[in-house]
Amino acid sequence: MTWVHEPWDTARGAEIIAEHSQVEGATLVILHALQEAFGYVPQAAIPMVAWALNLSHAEVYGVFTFYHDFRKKRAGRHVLKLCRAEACQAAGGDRLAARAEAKLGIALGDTTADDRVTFEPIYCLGLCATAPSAILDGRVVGRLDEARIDAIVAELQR
Amino acid sequence: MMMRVYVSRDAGAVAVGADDVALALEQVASKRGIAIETIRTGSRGLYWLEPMVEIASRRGASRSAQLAPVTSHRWSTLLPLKALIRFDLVFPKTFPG
Repeated sequence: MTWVHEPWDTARGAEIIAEHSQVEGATLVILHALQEAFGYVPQAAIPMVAWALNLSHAEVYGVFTFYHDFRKKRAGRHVLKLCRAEACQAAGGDRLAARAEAKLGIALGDTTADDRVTFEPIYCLGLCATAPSAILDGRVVGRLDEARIDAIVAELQR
Repeated sequence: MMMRVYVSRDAGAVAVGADDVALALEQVASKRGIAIETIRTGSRGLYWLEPMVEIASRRGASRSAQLAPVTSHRWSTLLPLKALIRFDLVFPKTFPG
């Protein structure tokens, strides 16, 4: 998914927080809304969320870090998450990860210098039956092999 | 009679190309003027056979033909079934893409 995100702005952040602060379980709702607006959860927003919900910074930070889908910085235009959990490892995931790293010229967890691709590990998509699997811009792909990883990387670099 | 075709929309099936197969089926059928109804079913639990296409016979889904896994390679080995469903399928040769 390629979203167009707004740059971080304190007033806009406060507006988003206020908009959702009355709903039940507001912490997650607000974190999602912030990430949707800015492409990541700006660290400056954490104390603002804590203040609005009468929570400690640590509680909000704890929620933020618990869910790995929340980002500290903006991702590239495309996000490729390769499963690195046991079943996919057993089906050759290590080799695929190394191959994709070499082709993209970045390590797992990094974004290419041109901001085009973010390549991340993920721990189980529940697609063990079609391992090795990955998720590309929200689209699941299974039974990956070298040819398919190459095709994905080529598509991303086009 | 409208031909009923079942293709799973389970994530495990989609991950191995079920969406592409469903789309290809509809495109080829419409090109050939064959009326088909594509039904995206839930999970069959048969992940190793996905993408699977199930074609209901005149007697209903209980008497049906299953083609699985549907890939351009496998298709050529299923020629007798081609007569049954009366159209050639051109499956996407690159996946994902």
